[in-house]
Amino acid sequence: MNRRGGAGDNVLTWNVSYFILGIAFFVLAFWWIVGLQDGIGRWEDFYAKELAGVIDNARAEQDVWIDVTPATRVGLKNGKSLSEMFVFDNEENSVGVSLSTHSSTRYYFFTNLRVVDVRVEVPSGDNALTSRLHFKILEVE
Amino acid sequence: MFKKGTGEALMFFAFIFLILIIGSGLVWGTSSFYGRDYEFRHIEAGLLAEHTLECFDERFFAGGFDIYSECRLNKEVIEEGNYLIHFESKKDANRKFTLGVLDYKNQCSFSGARSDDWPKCVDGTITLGDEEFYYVFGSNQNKQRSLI
Repeated sequence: MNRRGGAGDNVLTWNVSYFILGIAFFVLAFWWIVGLQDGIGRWEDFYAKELAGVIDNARAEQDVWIDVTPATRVGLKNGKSLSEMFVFDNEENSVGVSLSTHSSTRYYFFTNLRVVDVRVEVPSGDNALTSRLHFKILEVE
Repeated sequence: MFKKGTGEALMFFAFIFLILIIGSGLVWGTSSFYGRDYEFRHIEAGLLAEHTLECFDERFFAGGFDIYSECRLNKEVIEEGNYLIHFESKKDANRKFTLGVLDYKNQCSFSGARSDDWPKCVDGTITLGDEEFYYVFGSNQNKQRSLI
């Protein structure tokens, strides 16, 4: 025979479990959608490819300035510093864009050029209302 | 006889099933809206064409020609297997130059239903002296996303 108290405890345990699982699911879903709304992946993808394209189209000794305001706005909101957002790897011929502390997107450029003097300028101050990326293209020695 | 509480345990699977259905719907719906990659391959193929056509000359068909140093292309990136550079003479089928994945030429010329996984290409003709060459440039490079 089952004891009445035991069965009642069991029902309560199940209900509490469902409640906790439901809350966990809701929090995860909320985190997922908010993350997408920031467009971190989309902006990383866009800037990595466009920057690789700019390099493939560039000539040696060229100075390049590009408006990167949407990227820096998302990056700063997600705890990234300006100097960490755009990384050019001259060994691998790649452009890396990272706008959050947990992800990065990389794209390769096919021309034999190297990128130096990379910096993000923020003429409007720390709020990054406008920001631009500067780099210089040089011939591979 | 069934023990009391067995029904609750069975309902747990129904609950998980429901959560999975809702979760997959959510992921599918948001990914189809936000998840498409920025399409850059056709632009990259165009840039590769522009870059290579600038240095295209008779040397392409001579032995020992090093396209990487002559046209300032990066060997490691081109040899990753995501590109095609192809020239062929319209007059003489033996005068050909191919670098990369030659199958991109077929995949790009296929006019039926196309897959997003197939490369994007640009093609055209260029004249060298009195000889006309058909060219195809293809790219199928995809971004590399990684967790830090």
